[in-house]
Amino acid sequence: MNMKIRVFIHLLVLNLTPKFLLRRLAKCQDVARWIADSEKLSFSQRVELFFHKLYCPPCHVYDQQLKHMHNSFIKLFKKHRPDVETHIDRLCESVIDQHSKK
Amino acid sequence: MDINVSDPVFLNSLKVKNREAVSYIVKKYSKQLYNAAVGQGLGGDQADEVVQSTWASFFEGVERFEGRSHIRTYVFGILYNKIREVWRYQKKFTDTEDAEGFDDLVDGQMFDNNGLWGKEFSGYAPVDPEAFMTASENMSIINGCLDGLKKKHRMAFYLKEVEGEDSEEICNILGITRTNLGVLLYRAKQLLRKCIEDKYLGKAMV
Repeated sequence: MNMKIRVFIHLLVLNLTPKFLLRRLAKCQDVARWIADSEKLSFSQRVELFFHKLYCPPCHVYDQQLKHMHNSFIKLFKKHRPDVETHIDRLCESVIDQHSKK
Repeated sequence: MDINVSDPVFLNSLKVKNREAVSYIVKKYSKQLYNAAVGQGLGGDQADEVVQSTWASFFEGVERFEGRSHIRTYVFGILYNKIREVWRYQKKFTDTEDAEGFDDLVDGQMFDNNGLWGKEFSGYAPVDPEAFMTASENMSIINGCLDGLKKKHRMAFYLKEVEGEDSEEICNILGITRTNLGVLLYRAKQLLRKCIEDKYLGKAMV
């Protein structure tokens, strides 16, 4: 969905939702925390997170950014480097020789 | 061949320095240890030394290991302490950083008083995901931003997101509570994300 439409929907939701209901909905600040550490969320929080991301473009974008970021970090640290592999193999041999009984 | 490293028989073999057991455990974790050390900003030679000294401490203390935590947690705990020693030596790590308070500095900049993204999405909300993705695929950008993180944030982020470690194990390794880990991860991610945006993309409207 176009980002401008998303922003429009978000502003619409914020302005049309009655205040008492808005107070009960999760804030973007809470949602950002949930996205960053989603492991310990309850079922109701997960449902709220899902709906919040539908109408809140910044939180949706934030979620996507974190996913990209994680993938980039994994790529950076887990990429296959044959020279490092050989080096680690040598390191292992030296540690094994040093700390085991022959 | 997959061996259960928590098995008492295997642990006993380690304690008597049985070559097969030592070889299995060293080969199983050395690569992760080395990558974790590099991930914390150590150079190749330093990472090498840290891994060797981690194993030395491990084999010195393995007789006292009672198997209450996973052996991987135990080894990574030693590694983390060794890395902290290197940081202290390089004066990149201070006790005040270790005991830092979890202030709301990051949140204060990002969100307004109502908990919404600041300034009606104009200044602080996340920027276009495609531009962000292009920037975050640039490894020099990522490395630069990683270097700006505090050491504990960096370690928590690395263990969780790159190594995929369990939260409970990370808490044991870093000696923190689950709530503190949540805050560390949140702050690390916010800071990294903001760094990638601010330094390399500039702030833009969604």
